Amino acid sequence: MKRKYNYFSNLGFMLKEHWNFDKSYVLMQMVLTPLGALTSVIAAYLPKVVLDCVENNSSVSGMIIKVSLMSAVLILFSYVQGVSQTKTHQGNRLSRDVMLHKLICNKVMSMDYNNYVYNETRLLREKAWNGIRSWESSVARFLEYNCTLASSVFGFSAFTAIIVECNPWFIPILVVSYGISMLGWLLLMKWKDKMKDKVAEIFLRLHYVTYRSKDFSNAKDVRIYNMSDFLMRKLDKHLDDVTWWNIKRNDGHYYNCLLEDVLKFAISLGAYIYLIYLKLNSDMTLGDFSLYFGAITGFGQWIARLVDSIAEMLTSAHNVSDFRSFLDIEDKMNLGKGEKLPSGKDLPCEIELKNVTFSYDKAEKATVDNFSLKINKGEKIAIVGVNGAGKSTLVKLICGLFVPQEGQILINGIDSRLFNRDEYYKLFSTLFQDCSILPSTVAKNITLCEENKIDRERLYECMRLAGILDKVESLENKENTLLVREVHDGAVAFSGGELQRLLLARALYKNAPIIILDEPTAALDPIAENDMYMKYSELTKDKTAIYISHRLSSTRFCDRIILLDEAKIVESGTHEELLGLGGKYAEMFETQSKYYREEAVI
Amino acid sequence: MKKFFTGLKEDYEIVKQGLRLVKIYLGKNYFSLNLIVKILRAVSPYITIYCTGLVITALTENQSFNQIIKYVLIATVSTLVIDVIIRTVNRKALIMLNSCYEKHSALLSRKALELDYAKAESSSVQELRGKIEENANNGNGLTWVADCAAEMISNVFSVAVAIVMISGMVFSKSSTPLTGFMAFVDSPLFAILLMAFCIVAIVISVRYQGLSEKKKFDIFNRAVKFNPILEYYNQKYLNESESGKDVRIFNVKALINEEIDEKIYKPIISMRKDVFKLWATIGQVSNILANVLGGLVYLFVGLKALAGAFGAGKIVEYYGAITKLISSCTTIAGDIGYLRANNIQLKQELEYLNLVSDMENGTRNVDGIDPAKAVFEFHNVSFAYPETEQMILKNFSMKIESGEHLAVVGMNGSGKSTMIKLLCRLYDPTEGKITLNGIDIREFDYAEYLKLFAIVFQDFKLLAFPVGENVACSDEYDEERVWKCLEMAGVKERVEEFPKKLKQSVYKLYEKDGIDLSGGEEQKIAIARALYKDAPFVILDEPTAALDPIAESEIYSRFNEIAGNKTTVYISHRLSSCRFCSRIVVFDNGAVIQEGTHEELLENPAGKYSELWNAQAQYYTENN
Repeated sequence: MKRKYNYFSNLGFMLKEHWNFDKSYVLMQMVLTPLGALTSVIAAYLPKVVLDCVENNSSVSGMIIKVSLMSAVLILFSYVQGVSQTKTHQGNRLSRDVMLHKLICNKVMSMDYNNYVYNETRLLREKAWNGIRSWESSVARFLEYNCTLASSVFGFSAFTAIIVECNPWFIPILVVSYGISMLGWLLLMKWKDKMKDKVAEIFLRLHYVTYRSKDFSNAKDVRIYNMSDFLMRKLDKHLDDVTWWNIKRNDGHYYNCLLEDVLKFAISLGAYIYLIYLKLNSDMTLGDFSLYFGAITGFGQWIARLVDSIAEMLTSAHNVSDFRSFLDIEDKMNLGKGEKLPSGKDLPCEIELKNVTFSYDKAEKATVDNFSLKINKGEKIAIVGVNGAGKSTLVKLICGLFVPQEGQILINGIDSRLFNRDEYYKLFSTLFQDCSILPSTVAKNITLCEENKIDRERLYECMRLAGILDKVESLENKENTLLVREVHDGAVAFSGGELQRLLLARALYKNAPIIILDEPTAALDPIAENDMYMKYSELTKDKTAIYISHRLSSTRFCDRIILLDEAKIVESGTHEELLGLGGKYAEMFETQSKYYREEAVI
Repeated sequence: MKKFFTGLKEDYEIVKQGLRLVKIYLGKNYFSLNLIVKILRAVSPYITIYCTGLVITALTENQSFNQIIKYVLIATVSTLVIDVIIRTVNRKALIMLNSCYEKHSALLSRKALELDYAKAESSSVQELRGKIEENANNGNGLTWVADCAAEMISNVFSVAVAIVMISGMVFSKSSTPLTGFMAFVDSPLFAILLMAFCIVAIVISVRYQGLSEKKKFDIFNRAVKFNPILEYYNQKYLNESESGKDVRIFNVKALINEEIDEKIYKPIISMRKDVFKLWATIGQVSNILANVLGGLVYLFVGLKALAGAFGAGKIVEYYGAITKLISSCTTIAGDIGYLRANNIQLKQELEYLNLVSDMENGTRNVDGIDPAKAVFEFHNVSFAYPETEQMILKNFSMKIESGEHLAVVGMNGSGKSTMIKLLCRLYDPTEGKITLNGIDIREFDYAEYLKLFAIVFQDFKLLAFPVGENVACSDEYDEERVWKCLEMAGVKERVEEFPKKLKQSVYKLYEKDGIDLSGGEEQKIAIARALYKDAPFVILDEPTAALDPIAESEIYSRFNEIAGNKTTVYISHRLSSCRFCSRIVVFDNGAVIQEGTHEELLENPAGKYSELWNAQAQYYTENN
């Protein structure tokens, strides 16, 4: 699943993204690149100039002019550098929080649903997030690391030139000794990369527990079941794991640093001895002495910077690759031009499932196995069955969230795979059991479209039909009331029943030719439930409808009832027919209705 | 002036409290280890500076090779030793520091677990936590205190060393008499002038540094508005499988993009722009000043040497010491500004961590309560949710007899769930009181009191931990009992199918190989959890909403086994459940309007109960 991207491809990718997002950021990076090195070179020459002036007893004015000039240049450079560093820093944050965030969000929203929920791709997504979240070696800083690298190469060359002038033999000695330390860092990095998955898991768990502990939706259960000690123990355990990781990675860091310290010691000692010998035995000036000494000991810094920036750049490149592997996850569904959606006289649609087989992830047992069902134009069918009979899976297959591994699903005789994936979704209005609420207004949660595209009239009509109009009108800001209290001050919390009505209004607003309702009355009171039954035929007029419910009372409004067991149709027919059959359906109905009959004995 | 000092004292107190907290959450030694590292780091460059000066002086004086090498050895060896000490001490400190972000959020989560329910829900508390989190994100707040304080102290050391080193310079004079400009250079006045210059520059630096820190905090504070929304999208809406379905089928992409753009991206961009503007202007003042001073110092030291006040070796030494002095002063100034500005956030943090429960917490324990004789009573209770006006319960009175099986029915929004929340003291009544055997429930110790209840809430949540831990709500559990509870809840067979049985995690958010559950399975596990707690009062709020008729019927038929002699409150929209409850109360608009047995209530055909019952029962009775 993970792909390899070469360095230039990554650089090209990031350059393109940054350039499209913020040109000034890229330009500033270019300015910054040579400036840092140039400043260091000038700063290295400044003491030489002063020392030379003193040693040669040169004129006062000469010294004032030289020093002032160099200082002026330094002031200017360091100002420009300060500004562009700020720009870089803010730019990095921005590209992390906006540019890359947007890329991930768009991918998350546009990838196949199967990829969205599939285990392996989820892990890739987690990796992509980690790659931009972690500040050191974040994807957002890839470009910066490249510029630091270029700047290090620049400074490295300038200092090399100074040292070569003193004695070229210093260069190979310095390069070899720093090469040893570089090797140490490289090994450490390799090891870190190997540990990445394990570390991602440690952090995944820790973040889960930290987030859930403060998440208000868990607050009731946590208190009633006195789970706080339990959660705190988990927290402590995962914090220990994090500490374990920090000890591990710091160990490597520590030994590398020690090695570096020893090398630095040897080099400065060597440089001192050589330069002092030279100074005593040749006509080298004091200025040169200080310049060369500065260059030789400073050379280490440039090599270190060079190594660091290579290491940072490489780690960040790994993250860029992870990030791109996620973005490049291939969608299998039809994203190109598809068949024309049925419209006009082709409506309502006919749906046919032909020998459909489907299994989740790598599950051995197929959830749906060789399943066939034909739903006629405008037919209203009910699907009933025990928990886990495969009802929800079937619905997900029909509305195109999952694609069957074998067999086909035909809409008006056309294979669903021939439609464009996103076009195909337009055929369905759905109400699923589990609800997700957008942190926005009631109106947007129902219409699910942008502010200027909201059809207020239809919105109100749908709220009325769904029985939530009274509630919304009782709110101060009406349909513009914000939802999700944990995110917005003064947001309104809807009860379970109200949320369900909101979801119904949402399904109605979409007004698609096929309507699928999965347990739409589970949280409604009996009056509201009855109300929904009474309105059912109005709500599904001219539509093909699929109704899933455990409340068998609801099924009699449907033309046909399908009883599923282990994803097989065991019975099919109208309410009366099935009762007459005296099979499983009749048994289920009997089970449910006995409590409602007067003679019930408990 | 007096005000200035009291302000300073107050700031000092807050920093001290902050450091105490750091000790608790980051580790006892963190501050002292960090301080040692920082002081050594601040002081060690002076060794190099001093020795280089010595070497150059020796060179100009043509001292012997061996003598010079002695200085060199002192410089290099001592630097090496100090470096190794720094690394070794820092190794310990780094381990603590590296996990500080995680430890800090764990600290906040821990507090969230301790808060009372109303506090946990309150948007002001959540906002406060949001602010603290954002500050921590930007590296400010509690975490920063230790670092900043240590840095400040270490720089004070650095300043002291620098002053000792340059003290000789001010009065150093040339041995030969000078005239004109050079005489001025040679006089102490020249040195004093330079010092005055330094002081002015440092004062300006301090002022602007403080100003820029303060402004920066104001700007970063804006993040409090959008961070919770961002978090909600990242953790929930764009992460969970439920919302994934909606996003696709309803094509919500365009709306989400618009929402994120308006509510998150735009504020972030404007925030970052303002930070940039600030740092590119005010923020650069001290940078420029430091460079100007650097040039001046060089010029000064050079001219002094040229006048013959001291040799070339001292140039290196004095220059090094003065520039270090300037940078240390600027750092101290910055740190003071930073610490004081950071105190605004530290105060928020202390406020959050010191939150105490508003709820009365009594001292009575519940041992004396015999569940078989316990009677709960609501006395004229009225209740509105915090920060809202609308009374959900109005002058509400009701009695729950010991051992009875009570059904509560009513329309959506009639106050059924709210009654439960008051009973188990997630909230306290706005007016009136609730008593247990005549004792106000507020007089009981809260933790003790909660032991009385096992509740399955309508919107219960399972955690992505192993099944066994979910049932027992602990990592230590009695396996046999867990299996028994799972069996009673009717989900044993399903769990037996899991590869890791009780150790199988649910969902995939915590362990990759977790198993996703259907709504019905979740509900059964939640029921098993309530059974495992084995509390004398069982409350079930819509426990069968997601169950199929067979499973529902199983729960019903086991109800007596589940409930046993326990007092049970059963809330359901499926009125069939009322049949096996000994008493039914009907809620309407926050009050009890009817009560009695099923038969009694049906005798009144105009009553609410009959209306509710018939609405549902008609579909089951018509054909029979």
